[in-house]
Amino acid sequence: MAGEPVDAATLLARIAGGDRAAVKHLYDSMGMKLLGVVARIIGDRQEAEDVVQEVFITIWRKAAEYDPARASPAAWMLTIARNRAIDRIRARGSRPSGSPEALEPLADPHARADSLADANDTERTVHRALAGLDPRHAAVIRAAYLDGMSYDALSAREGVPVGTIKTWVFRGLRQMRERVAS
Amino acid sequence: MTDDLPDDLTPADMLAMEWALGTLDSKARADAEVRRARDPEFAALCSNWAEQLAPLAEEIAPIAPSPALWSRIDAEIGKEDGFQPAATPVTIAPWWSRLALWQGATAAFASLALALLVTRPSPPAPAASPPAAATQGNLLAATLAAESGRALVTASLDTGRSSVVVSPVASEDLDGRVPELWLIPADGTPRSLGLIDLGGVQKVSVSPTLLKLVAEGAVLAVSLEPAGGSPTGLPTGPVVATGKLTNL
Repeated sequence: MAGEPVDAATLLARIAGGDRAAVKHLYDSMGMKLLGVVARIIGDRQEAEDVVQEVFITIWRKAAEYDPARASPAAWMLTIARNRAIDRIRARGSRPSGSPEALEPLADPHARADSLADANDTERTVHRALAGLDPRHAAVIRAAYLDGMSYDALSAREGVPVGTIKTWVFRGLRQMRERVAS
Repeated sequence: MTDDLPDDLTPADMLAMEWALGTLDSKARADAEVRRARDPEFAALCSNWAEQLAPLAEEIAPIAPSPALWSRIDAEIGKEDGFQPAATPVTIAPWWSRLALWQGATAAFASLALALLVTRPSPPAPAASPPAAATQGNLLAATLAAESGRALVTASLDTGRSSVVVSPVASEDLDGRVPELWLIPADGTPRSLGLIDLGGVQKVSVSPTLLKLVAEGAVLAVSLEPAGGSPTGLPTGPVVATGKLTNL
């Protein structure tokens, strides 16, 4: 795939048609990214790989349900991956002691550039929007999205009631949406 | 918690935020999933938030998977080759029409046929089926009913295709949970066949390991589980329907 831009939407359409080779292409372009996201939530490398395996099986089965009018391929796949990972940690009640530092991030900068190539502008906008929020609101939004923390976990971490966390989340996200839109 | 809440947000808006962010507990997540499946407006709000938040994941460094991971995925997909997503029912049609024919027979005839253990020759492989994997298959069927006798789904299992076609015939109050299909073979230990959707006909693949356990008299069952399925590998929620597999 050297130098060849990967169009994930096309790959998903091919997978929907039963093209197994397209799954490999998608895995090559998105697998590392999804493993990073899942491992951050799960906190255990081996279990994270199990989840990524389930994610690609799900993509294979459900590619026909992907609607390009409603979601970007990256957001669709991230949703599947995060939902799987969060379901796991909710089911077991808490995170294991394994720290994300034990995981080896990939040094290759190209891998990162390939994976969500079209997100860069949006990324900057979203990060700017987040940076403009009350720091406590931004912190719980990031911890929830990136680490998969529940209301209870966030409440314990911040030392405030769950209701307060909810208020921060709703106010923060609403403000973020306004900033991204403007 | 309401004193400070932005008053221009609707409850659906707030739930969609929570769904996309992932802060809810298992039960609430399952409820939101059910609503997403049933309420297109809510589903659109959810997609919208998932889209808005996705760029946050950019800051997470990719991790190179172990080389074995792709082999595992490829092997798993290989087992399902011939499986077609629900949106392309074309390949299901020949299968389904055979079953529909059978279902069209009078109940008396059907039970007579079952009582006599009528075995049918394995069906000719359709042109679309994968050549190498086509093996002689047995066709088994079961009607999964509640204790009251009320049928919930019918299932037909084709060992040659390594799959079971599930067809809901009634709806069930899911109460925020998801239906999971189980195979209970002669040893009495349930093996999960995966989550099913009571919204329509679907094909569920059966792994070669589980396929070996399929025999007449084995039981199929549906239990209601938390989102993502049983966390333990065994049914944890109420079993809402069971049925014995019978050779066709």
